[in-house]
Amino acid sequence: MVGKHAVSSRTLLVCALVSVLGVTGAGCGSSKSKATTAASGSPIKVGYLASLTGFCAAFSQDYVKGAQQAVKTINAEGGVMGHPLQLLVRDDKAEPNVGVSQARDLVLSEHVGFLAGTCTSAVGKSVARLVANPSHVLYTVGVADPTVFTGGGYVFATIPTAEVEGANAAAYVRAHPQWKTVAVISEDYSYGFEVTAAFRKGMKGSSQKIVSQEYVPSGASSYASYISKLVAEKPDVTYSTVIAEDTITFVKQAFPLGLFKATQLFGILDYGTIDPMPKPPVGALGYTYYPSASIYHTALSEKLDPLGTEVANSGAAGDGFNQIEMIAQGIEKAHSTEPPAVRAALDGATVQMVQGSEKIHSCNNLTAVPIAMGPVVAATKELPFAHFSPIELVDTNKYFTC
Amino acid sequence: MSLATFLDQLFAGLGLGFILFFSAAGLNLVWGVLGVMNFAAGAVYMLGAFMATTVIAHVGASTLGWLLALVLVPVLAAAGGALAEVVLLRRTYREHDENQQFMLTLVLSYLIAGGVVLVYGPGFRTVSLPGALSGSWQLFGATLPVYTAVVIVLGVLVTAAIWGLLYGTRAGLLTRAAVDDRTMLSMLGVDVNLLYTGVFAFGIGLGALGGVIDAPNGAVTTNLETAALVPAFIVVVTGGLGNMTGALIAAVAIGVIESFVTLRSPTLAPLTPYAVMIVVLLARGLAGRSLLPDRARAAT
Repeated sequence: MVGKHAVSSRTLLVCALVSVLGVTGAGCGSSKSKATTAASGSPIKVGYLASLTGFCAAFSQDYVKGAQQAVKTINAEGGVMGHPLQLLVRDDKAEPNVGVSQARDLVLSEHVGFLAGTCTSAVGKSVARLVANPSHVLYTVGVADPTVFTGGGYVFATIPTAEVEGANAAAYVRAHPQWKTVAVISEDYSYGFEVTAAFRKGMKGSSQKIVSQEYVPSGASSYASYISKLVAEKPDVTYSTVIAEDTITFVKQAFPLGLFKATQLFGILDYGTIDPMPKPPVGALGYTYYPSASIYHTALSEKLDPLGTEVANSGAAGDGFNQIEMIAQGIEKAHSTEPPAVRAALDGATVQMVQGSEKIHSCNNLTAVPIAMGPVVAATKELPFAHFSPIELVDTNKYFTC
Repeated sequence: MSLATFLDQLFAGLGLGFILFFSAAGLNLVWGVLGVMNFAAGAVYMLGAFMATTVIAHVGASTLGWLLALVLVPVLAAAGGALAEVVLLRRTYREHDENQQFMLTLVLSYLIAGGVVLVYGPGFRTVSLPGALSGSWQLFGATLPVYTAVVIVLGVLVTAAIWGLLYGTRAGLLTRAAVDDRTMLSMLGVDVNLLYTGVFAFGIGLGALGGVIDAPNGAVTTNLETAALVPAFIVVVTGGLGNMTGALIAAVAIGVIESFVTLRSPTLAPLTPYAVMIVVLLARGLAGRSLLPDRARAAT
């Protein structure tokens, strides 16, 4: 994944280095100069938080590329109500205090009315608090913590929350009664705890037995002892929410230890992680709620194509793209650039996303985007990277009670 | 617990322990001999892992590529370490200015981390193991990955090599003498500056070697810096600052204990290194020994 797009990411790399060296990121933000601005009005500024350093830095370049691509295509088509979008990218370092500080600066110094981005619930939650009244800044973000989002608020989600993810995983396991014993392996931070809690809740009343629960340290260099434990337990299925680059470490170490012979692996396997694996876990049952372009055949998924197969399918790029699209469509629907009007227009609306037409639920501002599921297969001539086939798209509306 | 399960956890623990040892070895040597707490050790480890991905990407994921990375990366890192020692650290020894050493190695870590991001980007990289090292052996029903066995053997060899260098060569003799009395050694006509540069470079090379060895285990990310540095400090403090044998024992003990704790209580397993360190420090305190051993004694 890394290294094939060095030219287009040069600015980001320099900004990341500047950030690492502790210098504030003046001049490290705007993609305006790259946009072909058919629009002629004054620019609508959108602050974009990306974890260019720190946890999930590995994927944040793709988030930014997706957001930049959305801005580029929107501006090329005349902008939003005649105004071009201007993206101001800031490094939140995946730290809540840095994220809040950057968001505050974007609002106070750059006078942005719209914010998007970040990849961690911790940053998302802190920024969500900041954009609550009285600042009236609208924020679109793809994080899994359900407490970030409240109906009537100014924060809108572009991916399902951990509650939806866990409930869907439980429904999938329950639909396979031949799996009598289930092991669960999760990350040892809020995402892992929440998705596991939702999974266990969904499994209540099932005759299928959860025989073990492991929370693995995020970013560890060895998961061998956890894998050996699973191999010894031989559960019929292992539900894994080990995520991001930890998935790569987990799968790499699982092969020689014989995990895939001892149990059926089922869990989150984003295209952005299975693609760079030297040996993808062919036969594992995966799912992703990130919009990898090749999964969907929509007008917006095609707009990711210029990013190249690898980035367009990373999922992160699609999510960054969706966050900007949601803001742009909200402005169009509201016929206003005022965040309160845009918030009202998005409330319960249906928006076009990479995945298709998706409904925003009024009670919690969550967008019911589908979850793509399927067995992992090796790269093919048509799709030159590991992917799911056949793919089942799960309608997540059924997990909303409002 | 069946024999197979016992052995599975033992192998996993040994693998983890030796990886921990590799993350700590360079830090430990530099502390033991030079008295420099090298805060760039994690960054060097990360750099070694990233450099390994470059070498393997160019030569191929073959045994040759991996062996080349194993030799070339530590040598290049050691050369960089020598330069950093001459330019940054040399002047601080005479003044015994540990604050300056701390700040300089911290700056060094920022420079390395920034350089890695600049060259490789903030994303991750992966490397494949050569086919010959990617399989596993079955022993009494347990599974021993070939690469875990290789890591264990390398760990033993590296410890033996360091021990041999320190106790079997004139350079080792002089190094140990320098720990005791640098001034006296200098008066006897020994080029202590060169000796110190050599030791620092060797320590940096050792740290980079750890990164090379760890690279095929998982994703190579910038997070490796912190992931390596914190456990390395725990191992060094637990094993006795500067004590290489102690570090090896501490690393292996932490790895094996953590592995068996995983079996019984996976939630508590990540706390194992901290628990072992606290127990060892308390035991030292109760025995009336200094919590941080004397450097001169530790290095011998």
